[in-house]
Amino acid sequence: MRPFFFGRSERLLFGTYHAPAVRSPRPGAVLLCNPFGQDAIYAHRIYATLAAKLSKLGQHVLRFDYYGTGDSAGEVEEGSQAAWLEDILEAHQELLASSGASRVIWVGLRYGATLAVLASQSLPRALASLILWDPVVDGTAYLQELAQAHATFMQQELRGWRPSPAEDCQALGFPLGPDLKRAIAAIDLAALCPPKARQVTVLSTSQKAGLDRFRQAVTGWSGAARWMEMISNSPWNSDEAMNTLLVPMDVLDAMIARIQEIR
Amino acid sequence: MKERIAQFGPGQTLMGIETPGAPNQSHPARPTWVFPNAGVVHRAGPHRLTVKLARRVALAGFPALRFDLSGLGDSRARSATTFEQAAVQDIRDAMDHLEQTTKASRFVLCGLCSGADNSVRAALADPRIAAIALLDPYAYRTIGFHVRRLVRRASNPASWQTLAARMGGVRRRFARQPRPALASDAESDGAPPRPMYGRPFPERSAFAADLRRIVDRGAHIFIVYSGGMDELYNHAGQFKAAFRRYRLGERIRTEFLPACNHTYTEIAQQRRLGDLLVAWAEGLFPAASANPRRQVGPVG
Repeated sequence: MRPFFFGRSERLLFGTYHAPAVRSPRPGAVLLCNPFGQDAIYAHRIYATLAAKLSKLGQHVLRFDYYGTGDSAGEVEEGSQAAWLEDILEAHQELLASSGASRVIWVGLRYGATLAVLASQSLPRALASLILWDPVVDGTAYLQELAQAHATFMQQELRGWRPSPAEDCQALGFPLGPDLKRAIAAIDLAALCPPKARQVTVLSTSQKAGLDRFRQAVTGWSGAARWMEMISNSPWNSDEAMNTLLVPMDVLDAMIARIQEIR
Repeated sequence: MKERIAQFGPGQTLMGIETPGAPNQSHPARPTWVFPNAGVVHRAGPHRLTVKLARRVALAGFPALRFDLSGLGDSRARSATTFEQAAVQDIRDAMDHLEQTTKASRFVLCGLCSGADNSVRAALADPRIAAIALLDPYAYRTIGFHVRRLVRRASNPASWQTLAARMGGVRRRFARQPRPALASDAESDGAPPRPMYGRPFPERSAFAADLRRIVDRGAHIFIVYSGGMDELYNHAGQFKAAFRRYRLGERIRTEFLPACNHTYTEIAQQRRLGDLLVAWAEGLFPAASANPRRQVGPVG
Protein backbone atom coordinates (compact mmCIF):
# COMPACT_ATOMS: atom_id res chain seq x y z
CA MET A 1 0.00 0.00 0.00
CA ARG A 2 1.51 3.33 -1.04
CA PRO A 3 -0.26 6.52 0.01
CA PHE A 4 0.66 9.56 -2.06
CA PHE A 5 -0.53 12.91 -3.33
CA PHE A 6 -0.99 13.49 -7.02
CA GLY A 7 -2.42 16.01 -9.45
CA ARG A 8 -1.88 19.71 -9.85
CA SER A 9 -0.05 21.45 -7.01
CA GLU A 10 -2.93 23.84 -6.37
CA ARG A 11 -5.40 20.99 -6.01
CA LEU A 12 -3.56 17.91 -4.78
CA LEU A 13 -5.51 14.68 -4.50
CA PHE A 14 -4.81 11.98 -1.98
CA GLY A 15 -4.54 8.45 -3.28
CA THR A 16 -3.57 5.02 -2.05
CA TYR A 17 -2.02 2.67 -4.57
CA HIS A 18 -2.08 -1.06 -3.93
CA ALA A 19 0.47 -2.89 -6.05
CA PRO A 20 -0.20 -6.52 -6.97
CA ALA A 21 0.91 -8.73 -4.11
CA VAL A 22 1.74 -11.69 -6.33
CA ARG A 23 4.75 -12.62 -8.47
CA SER A 24 2.81 -12.71 -11.74
CA PRO A 25 0.39 -9.79 -11.67
CA ARG A 26 -2.64 -9.68 -13.90
CA PRO A 27 -2.60 -7.05 -16.63
CA GLY A 28 -5.52 -5.23 -15.09
CA ALA A 29 -5.92 -2.23 -12.86
CA VAL A 30 -8.92 -1.15 -10.81
CA LEU A 31 -9.88 2.42 -9.92
CA LEU A 32 -12.25 2.85 -6.98
CA CYS A 33 -14.52 5.91 -7.16
CA ASN A 34 -15.77 7.25 -3.84
CA PRO A 35 -19.35 8.13 -3.06
CA PHE A 36 -20.33 11.49 -1.53
CA GLY A 37 -20.43 12.65 2.08
CA GLN A 38 -21.14 10.22 4.84
CA ASP A 39 -21.28 7.37 2.32
CA ALA A 40 -17.60 8.09 1.63
CA ILE A 41 -16.76 7.79 5.32
CA TYR A 42 -18.56 4.46 5.36
CA ALA A 43 -16.87 3.40 2.11
CA HIS A 44 -13.33 3.85 3.43
CA ARG A 45 -13.12 0.46 5.12
CA ILE A 46 -15.05 -1.22 2.33
CA TYR A 47 -12.67 0.10 -0.32
CA ALA A 48 -9.57 -0.62 1.77
CA THR A 49 -10.73 -4.22 2.15
CA LEU A 50 -11.62 -4.53 -1.52
CA ALA A 51 -8.28 -3.05 -2.59
CA ALA A 52 -6.31 -5.40 -0.34
CA LYS A 53 -8.18 -8.43 -1.68
CA LEU A 54 -7.75 -7.41 -5.31
CA SER A 55 -4.07 -6.72 -4.74
CA LYS A 56 -3.64 -10.25 -3.41
CA LEU A 57 -5.26 -11.51 -6.61
CA GLY A 58 -2.72 -9.66 -8.72
CA GLN A 59 -4.59 -6.45 -9.57
CA HIS A 60 -3.23 -2.92 -9.39
CA VAL A 61 -5.69 -0.80 -7.39
CA LEU A 62 -6.01 2.91 -6.75
CA ARG A 63 -8.44 4.44 -4.29
CA PHE A 64 -8.48 8.20 -3.95
CA ASP A 65 -10.31 11.22 -2.55
CA TYR A 66 -11.90 13.87 -4.76
CA TYR A 67 -10.79 17.46 -4.26
CA GLY A 68 -12.24 18.85 -1.03
CA THR A 69 -12.99 15.39 0.36
CA GLY A 70 -11.16 12.90 2.56
CA ASP A 71 -7.44 13.67 2.80
CA SER A 72 -7.29 15.62 -0.46
CA ALA A 73 -6.63 19.34 -0.44
CA GLY A 74 -9.46 21.84 -0.29
CA GLU A 75 -12.90 21.88 1.25
CA VAL A 76 -16.09 20.34 -0.06
CA GLU A 77 -17.46 23.84 -0.64
CA GLU A 78 -14.71 24.33 -3.23
CA GLY A 79 -15.54 21.10 -5.05
CA SER A 80 -18.06 20.61 -7.81
CA GLN A 81 -19.43 17.73 -9.77
CA ALA A 82 -17.57 18.87 -12.88
CA ALA A 83 -14.29 19.06 -10.96
CA TRP A 84 -14.83 15.64 -9.43
CA LEU A 85 -15.32 14.17 -12.92
CA GLU A 86 -11.93 15.62 -13.82
CA ASP A 87 -10.50 14.11 -10.65
CA ILE A 88 -11.63 10.66 -11.78
CA LEU A 89 -9.91 11.15 -15.13
CA GLU A 90 -6.77 12.40 -13.36
CA ALA A 91 -6.78 9.37 -11.07
CA HIS A 92 -7.25 7.14 -14.11
CA GLN A 93 -4.11 8.61 -15.71
CA GLU A 94 -2.25 8.19 -12.44
CA LEU A 95 -3.27 4.54 -12.23
CA LEU A 96 -2.15 3.93 -15.80
CA ALA A 97 1.21 5.52 -15.01
CA SER A 98 1.69 3.65 -11.72
CA SER A 99 0.62 0.26 -13.01
CA GLY A 100 1.54 0.23 -16.67
CA ALA A 101 -1.72 -1.66 -17.08
CA SER A 102 -3.46 -1.68 -20.42
CA ARG A 103 -6.84 -2.74 -19.12
CA VAL A 104 -8.64 -0.63 -16.56
CA ILE A 105 -11.79 -1.32 -14.61
CA TRP A 106 -13.65 1.32 -12.65
CA VAL A 107 -15.72 0.55 -9.60
CA GLY A 108 -18.14 3.20 -8.33
CA LEU A 109 -20.28 3.17 -5.23
CA ARG A 110 -23.52 5.18 -4.98
CA TYR A 111 -22.84 8.75 -6.17
CA GLY A 112 -19.33 7.56 -7.11
CA ALA A 113 -20.92 5.11 -9.56
CA THR A 114 -22.89 7.93 -11.11
CA LEU A 115 -19.77 10.07 -11.41
CA ALA A 116 -17.98 7.13 -13.01
CA VAL A 117 -20.66 6.80 -15.69
CA LEU A 118 -20.42 10.53 -16.43
CA ALA A 119 -16.61 10.66 -16.39
CA SER A 120 -16.27 7.64 -18.67
CA GLN A 121 -17.87 9.64 -21.50
CA SER A 122 -14.70 11.74 -21.69
CA LEU A 123 -12.26 8.84 -21.96
CA PRO A 124 -10.35 8.48 -25.23
CA ARG A 125 -10.55 4.66 -24.97
CA ALA A 126 -13.26 2.46 -23.55
CA LEU A 127 -12.77 0.95 -20.13
CA ALA A 128 -12.47 -2.79 -19.90
CA SER A 129 -15.32 -2.77 -17.46
CA LEU A 130 -17.40 -0.51 -15.24
CA ILE A 131 -18.96 -1.83 -12.06
CA LEU A 132 -21.73 0.29 -10.56
CA TRP A 133 -22.69 -0.53 -6.99
CA ASP A 134 -26.07 0.95 -6.03
CA PRO A 135 -25.66 3.94 -8.34
CA VAL A 136 -27.56 7.15 -7.74
CA VAL A 137 -30.03 7.04 -10.62
CA ASP A 138 -32.37 9.92 -9.78
CA GLY A 139 -30.56 13.02 -8.50
CA THR A 140 -33.63 14.73 -7.11
CA ALA A 141 -34.59 11.65 -5.15
CA TYR A 142 -31.02 11.39 -3.88
CA LEU A 143 -31.11 14.97 -2.58
CA GLN A 144 -34.37 14.18 -0.80
CA GLU A 145 -32.78 11.07 0.67
CA LEU A 146 -29.83 13.14 1.95
CA ALA A 147 -32.15 15.75 3.49
CA GLN A 148 -34.26 13.06 5.13
CA ALA A 149 -31.21 11.22 6.49
CA HIS A 150 -29.86 14.48 7.93
CA ALA A 151 -33.13 15.44 9.63
CA THR A 152 -33.74 11.94 11.00
CA PHE A 153 -30.24 11.68 12.41
CA MET A 154 -30.27 15.12 14.01
CA GLN A 155 -33.67 14.51 15.60
CA GLN A 156 -32.29 11.32 17.13
CA GLU A 157 -29.15 13.06 18.30
CA LEU A 158 -30.43 16.29 19.81
CA ARG A 159 -33.51 16.75 21.91
CA GLY A 160 -35.74 19.42 20.42
CA TRP A 161 -33.67 19.77 17.23
CA ARG A 162 -35.48 21.77 14.55
CA PRO A 163 -34.30 22.28 10.98
CA SER A 164 -33.05 25.78 10.22
CA PRO A 165 -32.54 27.40 6.80
CA ALA A 166 -28.90 26.32 7.03
CA GLU A 167 -29.97 22.66 6.92
CA ASP A 168 -30.93 23.10 3.33
CA CYS A 169 -27.31 23.28 2.27
CA GLN A 170 -25.79 20.45 4.29
CA ALA A 171 -26.20 16.72 4.58
CA LEU A 172 -24.91 14.77 7.55
CA GLY A 173 -22.01 17.12 8.12
CA PHE A 174 -21.15 17.80 4.48
CA PRO A 175 -21.93 21.04 2.68
CA LEU A 176 -24.23 20.96 -0.32
CA GLY A 177 -23.74 24.22 -2.17
CA PRO A 178 -26.24 25.48 -4.74
CA ASP A 179 -24.07 24.49 -7.72
CA LEU A 180 -23.54 20.98 -6.43
CA LYS A 181 -27.23 20.60 -5.65
CA ARG A 182 -28.15 21.77 -9.14
CA ALA A 183 -25.73 19.30 -10.70
CA ILE A 184 -27.01 16.43 -8.56
CA ALA A 185 -30.64 17.34 -9.18
CA ALA A 186 -30.04 17.10 -12.91
CA ILE A 187 -28.86 13.49 -12.70
CA ASP A 188 -31.02 11.02 -14.55
CA LEU A 189 -28.82 8.02 -15.13
CA ALA A 190 -31.47 6.20 -17.14
CA ALA A 191 -31.51 8.99 -19.72
CA LEU A 192 -27.74 9.16 -20.17
CA CYS A 193 -25.73 7.81 -23.04
CA PRO A 194 -24.19 4.43 -22.25
CA PRO A 195 -20.88 4.67 -20.40
CA LYS A 196 -17.71 4.20 -22.37
CA ALA A 197 -16.95 0.66 -21.25
CA ARG A 198 -16.86 -2.70 -22.97
CA GLN A 199 -18.76 -4.28 -20.09
CA VAL A 200 -21.06 -2.80 -17.46
CA THR A 201 -22.15 -4.53 -14.29
CA VAL A 202 -24.76 -3.08 -11.98
CA LEU A 203 -24.73 -4.45 -8.44
CA SER A 204 -28.01 -3.57 -6.83
CA THR A 205 -28.45 -4.14 -3.10
CA SER A 206 -31.19 -1.66 -2.26
CA GLN A 207 -34.35 -0.39 -3.90
CA LYS A 208 -33.89 3.27 -4.79
CA ALA A 209 -35.83 5.69 -6.93
CA GLY A 210 -35.56 5.22 -10.67
CA LEU A 211 -33.90 1.83 -10.44
CA ASP A 212 -36.46 -0.01 -12.61
CA ARG A 213 -36.20 2.59 -15.34
CA PHE A 214 -32.41 2.40 -15.13
CA ARG A 215 -32.56 -1.37 -15.44
CA GLN A 216 -34.51 -1.02 -18.66
CA ALA A 217 -31.96 1.45 -19.95
CA VAL A 218 -29.06 -0.85 -19.11
CA THR A 219 -30.74 -3.70 -20.93
CA GLY A 220 -30.83 -1.53 -24.04
CA TRP A 221 -27.14 -0.63 -23.92
CA SER A 222 -25.03 -2.31 -26.53
CA GLY A 223 -22.18 -4.48 -25.33
CA ALA A 224 -22.21 -6.78 -22.36
CA ALA A 225 -24.31 -5.50 -19.48
CA ARG A 226 -25.12 -7.53 -16.45
CA TRP A 227 -27.53 -6.71 -13.65
CA MET A 228 -26.84 -8.42 -10.33
CA GLU A 229 -29.25 -8.14 -7.45
CA MET A 230 -28.09 -8.98 -3.96
CA ILE A 231 -29.79 -8.64 -0.63
CA SER A 232 -27.53 -6.57 1.58
CA ASN A 233 -28.57 -4.02 4.17
CA SER A 234 -25.78 -1.55 3.64
CA PRO A 235 -26.41 1.48 5.86
CA TRP A 236 -26.03 4.15 3.17
CA ASN A 237 -26.21 7.69 4.49
CA SER A 238 -25.83 6.68 8.09
CA ASP A 239 -23.93 8.83 10.57
CA GLU A 240 -23.61 5.99 13.04
CA ALA A 241 -19.89 5.59 13.68
CA MET A 242 -20.05 1.86 14.28
CA ASN A 243 -21.45 1.38 10.78
CA THR A 244 -18.06 2.34 9.40
CA LEU A 245 -16.84 -1.06 10.58
CA LEU A 246 -19.33 -2.92 8.42
CA VAL A 247 -18.00 -4.50 5.26
CA PRO A 248 -20.57 -6.41 3.17
CA MET A 249 -18.26 -9.24 2.23
CA ASP A 250 -20.87 -11.01 0.11
CA VAL A 251 -21.09 -7.98 -2.16
CA LEU A 252 -17.31 -7.63 -2.30
CA ASP A 253 -16.90 -11.31 -3.12
CA ALA A 254 -19.42 -11.02 -5.96
CA MET A 255 -17.62 -7.95 -7.27
CA ILE A 256 -14.21 -9.59 -7.05
CA ALA A 257 -15.51 -12.63 -8.90
CA ARG A 258 -16.83 -10.34 -11.63
CA ILE A 259 -13.52 -8.47 -11.87
CA GLN A 260 -11.58 -11.74 -12.11
CA GLU A 261 -13.79 -12.83 -15.02
CA ILE A 262 -12.86 -9.80 -17.11
CA ARG A 263 -10.27 -10.51 -19.76
CA MET B 1 -0.85 24.66 3.45
CA LYS B 2 0.68 21.63 1.76
CA GLU B 3 0.03 18.45 3.70
CA ARG B 4 2.46 15.54 3.94
CA ILE B 5 1.99 11.83 4.37
CA ALA B 6 3.41 10.39 7.56
CA GLN B 7 4.27 6.71 7.89
CA PHE B 8 5.83 5.63 11.13
CA GLY B 9 5.74 3.09 13.93
CA PRO B 10 6.77 -0.56 13.69
CA GLY B 11 7.62 -1.28 10.05
CA GLN B 12 6.18 2.12 9.06
CA THR B 13 2.71 0.60 9.33
CA LEU B 14 1.01 3.56 11.02
CA MET B 15 -0.39 6.12 8.63
CA GLY B 16 -1.33 9.76 9.00
CA ILE B 17 -1.32 13.19 7.41
CA GLU B 18 0.76 16.12 8.66
CA THR B 19 -0.45 19.68 8.24
CA PRO B 20 2.30 22.30 8.70
CA GLY B 21 1.49 25.34 10.78
CA ALA B 22 0.71 28.46 8.77
CA PRO B 23 4.08 30.23 8.32
CA ASN B 24 2.92 33.68 9.33
CA GLN B 25 1.74 32.34 12.67
CA SER B 26 4.19 29.53 13.30
CA HIS B 27 6.54 29.69 16.20
CA PRO B 28 9.10 27.03 17.09
CA ALA B 29 7.75 26.81 20.62
CA ARG B 30 4.20 26.12 19.56
CA PRO B 31 3.27 22.50 20.22
CA THR B 32 2.08 20.15 17.52
CA TRP B 33 -1.48 18.89 17.69
CA VAL B 34 -2.03 15.15 17.35
CA PHE B 35 -5.47 13.80 16.49
CA PRO B 36 -6.05 10.07 17.00
CA ASN B 37 -9.22 8.44 15.63
CA ALA B 38 -12.65 9.35 16.93
CA GLY B 39 -14.08 5.95 17.76
CA VAL B 40 -13.66 3.59 14.83
CA VAL B 41 -13.94 6.20 12.08
CA HIS B 42 -10.79 6.54 9.97
CA ARG B 43 -8.44 9.49 10.38
CA ALA B 44 -10.60 11.96 8.42
CA GLY B 45 -13.09 11.76 11.26
CA PRO B 46 -16.86 11.69 11.28
CA HIS B 47 -18.00 13.82 8.33
CA ARG B 48 -14.35 14.90 7.93
CA LEU B 49 -14.32 16.71 11.26
CA THR B 50 -10.72 15.77 12.07
CA VAL B 51 -9.45 17.11 8.75
CA LYS B 52 -11.22 20.40 9.42
CA LEU B 53 -9.92 20.68 12.99
CA ALA B 54 -6.35 19.80 11.99
CA ARG B 55 -6.42 22.44 9.24
CA ARG B 56 -8.03 24.98 11.55
CA VAL B 57 -5.33 24.71 14.22
CA ALA B 58 -2.65 24.68 11.51
CA LEU B 59 -4.07 27.91 10.12
CA ALA B 60 -3.55 29.39 13.57
CA GLY B 61 0.10 28.33 13.48
CA PHE B 62 0.00 24.95 15.22
CA PRO B 63 1.34 22.05 13.14
CA ALA B 64 -0.96 19.03 13.22
CA LEU B 65 -0.97 15.31 12.60
CA ARG B 66 -4.12 13.26 12.17
CA PHE B 67 -3.50 9.56 12.04
CA ASP B 68 -4.99 6.09 12.23
CA LEU B 69 -4.35 4.10 15.36
CA SER B 70 -3.19 0.56 14.69
CA GLY B 71 -6.01 -1.57 13.33
CA LEU B 72 -8.09 1.43 12.22
CA GLY B 73 -8.23 3.20 8.87
CA ASP B 74 -5.04 2.49 6.93
CA SER B 75 -2.83 1.51 9.87
CA ARG B 76 -1.99 -2.13 10.40
CA ALA B 77 -2.94 -3.76 13.70
CA ARG B 78 -0.25 -4.51 16.25
CA SER B 79 -0.09 -8.08 17.41
CA ALA B 80 -0.25 -9.36 20.98
CA THR B 81 -1.54 -6.24 22.63
CA THR B 82 -4.89 -4.76 23.63
CA PHE B 83 -6.40 -1.88 21.67
CA GLU B 84 -5.93 0.49 24.61
CA GLN B 85 -2.27 -0.42 25.12
CA ALA B 86 -1.66 -0.20 21.40
CA ALA B 87 -3.36 3.21 21.19
CA VAL B 88 -0.98 4.70 23.77
CA GLN B 89 2.03 3.21 22.00
CA ASP B 90 0.71 4.45 18.64
CA ILE B 91 0.39 8.00 19.97
CA ARG B 92 3.89 7.82 21.40
CA ASP B 93 5.18 6.54 18.07
CA ALA B 94 3.46 9.47 16.37
CA MET B 95 5.19 11.91 18.70
CA ASP B 96 8.56 10.16 18.22
CA HIS B 97 8.11 10.53 14.47
CA LEU B 98 7.28 14.22 14.75
CA GLU B 99 10.16 14.79 17.14
CA GLN B 100 12.59 13.18 14.67
CA THR B 101 11.23 14.78 11.51
CA THR B 102 10.09 18.23 12.66
CA LYS B 103 11.92 18.70 15.96
CA ALA B 104 8.61 19.08 17.76
CA SER B 105 9.07 18.52 21.46
CA ARG B 106 5.66 19.28 22.95
CA PHE B 107 2.25 18.14 21.88
CA VAL B 108 -1.43 18.80 22.27
CA LEU B 109 -3.66 15.75 21.93
CA CYS B 110 -7.21 16.19 20.77
CA GLY B 111 -9.65 13.30 20.82
CA LEU B 112 -13.37 12.75 20.46
CA CYS B 113 -15.17 9.99 22.36
CA SER B 114 -12.75 7.03 22.61
CA GLY B 115 -10.16 9.41 21.15
CA ALA B 116 -10.55 11.44 24.34
CA ASP B 117 -10.08 8.33 26.45
CA ASN B 118 -6.92 7.44 24.52
CA SER B 119 -5.65 11.01 24.89
CA VAL B 120 -5.96 10.76 28.67
CA ARG B 121 -4.10 7.44 28.72
CA ALA B 122 -1.32 8.83 26.54
CA ALA B 123 -1.02 12.00 28.64
CA LEU B 124 -0.57 9.83 31.71
CA ALA B 125 2.22 7.92 29.99
CA ASP B 126 4.16 10.65 28.21
CA PRO B 127 5.38 13.97 29.62
CA ARG B 128 5.82 15.50 26.16
CA ILE B 129 2.07 16.04 26.08
CA ALA B 130 1.61 19.63 27.25
CA ALA B 131 -2.16 19.76 26.89
CA ILE B 132 -5.13 17.61 25.95
CA ALA B 133 -8.45 18.63 24.43
CA LEU B 134 -11.13 16.11 25.28
CA LEU B 135 -14.39 16.09 23.32
CA ASP B 136 -17.10 14.22 25.20
CA PRO B 137 -14.87 12.39 27.64
CA TYR B 138 -16.35 10.50 30.58
CA ALA B 139 -19.09 12.43 32.39
CA TYR B 140 -20.69 11.93 35.75
CA ARG B 141 -24.13 12.83 36.96
CA THR B 142 -24.73 15.03 39.96
CA ILE B 143 -27.76 15.82 42.10
CA GLY B 144 -28.09 19.01 40.08
CA PHE B 145 -28.19 16.96 36.87
CA HIS B 146 -31.18 14.99 38.16
CA VAL B 147 -32.99 18.11 39.33
CA ARG B 148 -32.52 19.83 35.98
CA ARG B 149 -33.68 16.76 34.11
CA LEU B 150 -36.72 16.42 36.34
CA VAL B 151 -37.65 20.06 35.80
CA ARG B 152 -37.21 19.70 32.07
CA ARG B 153 -39.38 16.61 31.97
CA ALA B 154 -42.04 18.13 34.19
CA SER B 155 -42.34 21.08 31.85
CA ASN B 156 -42.78 18.83 28.82
CA PRO B 157 -46.38 17.64 28.23
CA ALA B 158 -45.07 14.59 26.37
CA SER B 159 -43.40 13.41 29.58
CA TRP B 160 -46.76 13.27 31.35
CA GLN B 161 -48.21 11.19 28.54
CA THR B 162 -45.25 8.82 28.81
CA LEU B 163 -45.74 8.61 32.55
CA ALA B 164 -49.38 7.67 32.11
CA ALA B 165 -48.38 4.99 29.64
CA ARG B 166 -45.93 3.58 32.14
CA MET B 167 -48.39 3.24 34.97
CA GLY B 168 -48.09 -0.51 34.41
CA GLY B 169 -44.93 -0.24 36.45
CA VAL B 170 -46.99 0.65 39.51
CA ARG B 171 -49.04 -2.47 39.06
CA ARG B 172 -45.86 -4.55 38.95
CA ARG B 173 -44.71 -3.05 42.23
CA PHE B 174 -47.96 -3.99 43.96
CA ALA B 175 -47.60 -7.50 42.57
CA ARG B 176 -44.07 -7.59 44.09
CA GLN B 177 -42.47 -8.23 40.74
CA PRO B 178 -39.04 -6.71 40.51
CA ARG B 179 -38.80 -4.09 37.80
CA PRO B 180 -35.89 -4.67 35.40
CA ALA B 181 -32.97 -2.56 36.53
CA LEU B 182 -31.94 0.25 34.23
CA ALA B 183 -28.41 1.54 34.19
CA SER B 184 -29.71 5.08 34.50
CA ASP B 185 -31.65 4.23 37.64
CA ALA B 186 -28.51 3.30 39.49
CA GLU B 187 -27.00 6.67 38.69
CA SER B 188 -26.75 9.27 41.32
CA ASP B 189 -23.92 11.20 42.79
CA GLY B 190 -21.21 8.58 43.42
CA ALA B 191 -23.16 5.67 41.93
CA PRO B 192 -21.65 3.32 39.34
CA PRO B 193 -21.12 5.13 36.06
CA ARG B 194 -23.15 4.40 32.96
CA PRO B 195 -21.45 3.36 29.72
CA MET B 196 -22.08 5.66 26.77
CA TYR B 197 -21.13 5.38 23.10
CA GLY B 198 -19.93 1.84 23.77
CA ARG B 199 -17.25 2.85 26.28
CA PRO B 200 -17.08 1.52 29.83
CA PHE B 201 -16.70 4.48 32.18
CA PRO B 202 -14.24 4.31 35.07
CA GLU B 203 -15.30 5.23 38.58
CA ARG B 204 -15.43 8.98 39.06
CA SER B 205 -12.62 8.82 41.63
CA ALA B 206 -10.39 6.93 39.18
CA PHE B 207 -11.01 9.47 36.42
CA ALA B 208 -10.36 12.30 38.87
CA ALA B 209 -7.08 10.67 39.88
CA ASP B 210 -6.01 10.44 36.23
CA LEU B 211 -6.86 14.09 35.58
CA ARG B 212 -5.04 15.07 38.77
CA ARG B 213 -1.87 13.27 37.67
CA ILE B 214 -1.95 15.06 34.33
CA VAL B 215 -2.43 18.57 35.73
CA ASP B 216 0.00 17.97 38.58
CA ARG B 217 2.81 17.57 36.10
CA GLY B 218 1.90 20.92 34.56
CA ALA B 219 -0.21 19.86 31.59
CA HIS B 220 -3.48 21.57 30.69
CA ILE B 221 -6.84 20.02 29.95
CA PHE B 222 -9.74 21.40 27.93
CA ILE B 223 -12.97 19.44 28.20
CA VAL B 224 -15.84 20.08 25.80
CA TYR B 225 -19.15 18.35 26.42
CA SER B 226 -21.73 18.31 23.65
CA GLY B 227 -25.51 18.13 23.77
CA GLY B 228 -25.11 14.53 22.61
CA MET B 229 -24.15 13.71 26.20
CA ASP B 230 -27.40 15.01 27.64
CA GLU B 231 -28.19 11.70 29.32
CA LEU B 232 -25.13 12.35 31.47
CA TYR B 233 -24.35 16.05 31.28
CA ASN B 234 -26.79 18.95 31.11
CA HIS B 235 -25.19 22.07 32.56
CA ALA B 236 -22.05 24.12 32.00
CA GLY B 237 -21.12 23.88 35.68
CA GLN B 238 -21.65 20.15 36.05
CA PHE B 239 -18.00 19.14 35.73
CA LYS B 240 -17.07 21.52 38.51
CA ALA B 241 -19.84 20.16 40.73
CA ALA B 242 -19.03 16.53 39.95
CA PHE B 243 -15.32 16.94 40.73
CA ARG B 244 -15.42 19.64 43.43
CA ARG B 245 -14.25 17.33 46.16
CA TYR B 246 -11.15 16.32 44.17
CA ARG B 247 -9.76 19.89 43.97
CA LEU B 248 -8.32 19.45 40.50
CA GLY B 249 -6.93 22.96 40.27
CA GLU B 250 -7.05 25.57 37.60
CA ARG B 251 -5.42 23.89 34.65
CA ILE B 252 -8.71 22.33 33.63
CA ARG B 253 -11.17 24.35 31.59
CA THR B 254 -14.55 23.09 30.48
CA GLU B 255 -17.13 24.13 27.94
CA PHE B 256 -20.66 22.88 27.35
CA LEU B 257 -22.14 23.08 23.86
CA PRO B 258 -25.75 21.87 24.20
CA ALA B 259 -26.63 22.77 20.59
CA CYS B 260 -23.98 20.39 19.24
CA ASN B 261 -24.41 16.65 18.86
CA HIS B 262 -21.72 14.13 19.76
CA THR B 263 -19.92 14.21 16.41
CA TYR B 264 -20.63 17.86 15.51
CA THR B 265 -22.66 16.99 12.46
CA GLU B 266 -23.79 20.50 11.61
CA ILE B 267 -21.26 22.59 9.77
CA ALA B 268 -21.75 25.73 11.86
CA GLN B 269 -21.06 23.69 14.99
CA GLN B 270 -17.92 22.20 13.46
CA ARG B 271 -16.64 25.74 12.88
CA ARG B 272 -17.60 26.76 16.39
CA LEU B 273 -15.66 23.85 17.84
CA GLY B 274 -12.61 24.70 15.76
CA ASP B 275 -12.69 28.32 16.90
CA LEU B 276 -13.07 27.24 20.51
CA LEU B 277 -10.09 24.90 20.38
CA VAL B 278 -7.90 27.52 18.73
CA ALA B 279 -8.88 30.19 21.23
CA TRP B 280 -7.98 27.86 24.10
CA ALA B 281 -4.65 26.88 22.54
CA GLU B 282 -3.74 30.47 21.68
CA GLY B 283 -4.42 31.42 25.27
CA LEU B 284 -2.10 28.68 26.47
CA PHE B 285 0.60 28.98 23.83
CA PRO B 286 0.71 32.54 22.52
CA ALA B 287 2.83 32.89 19.40
CA ALA B 288 5.47 35.04 21.05
CA SER B 289 5.91 32.90 24.15
CA ALA B 290 7.78 29.64 24.60
CA ASN B 291 6.00 28.60 27.78
CA PRO B 292 2.33 27.99 28.45
CA ARG B 293 0.60 30.43 30.71
CA ARG B 294 0.27 29.22 34.23
CA GLN B 295 -3.45 29.87 34.44
CA VAL B 296 -6.00 29.69 31.71
CA GLY B 297 -9.26 30.14 33.55
CA PRO B 298 -11.38 28.78 36.32
CA VAL B 299 -12.18 25.13 36.77
CA GLY B 300 -15.51 24.22 35.17
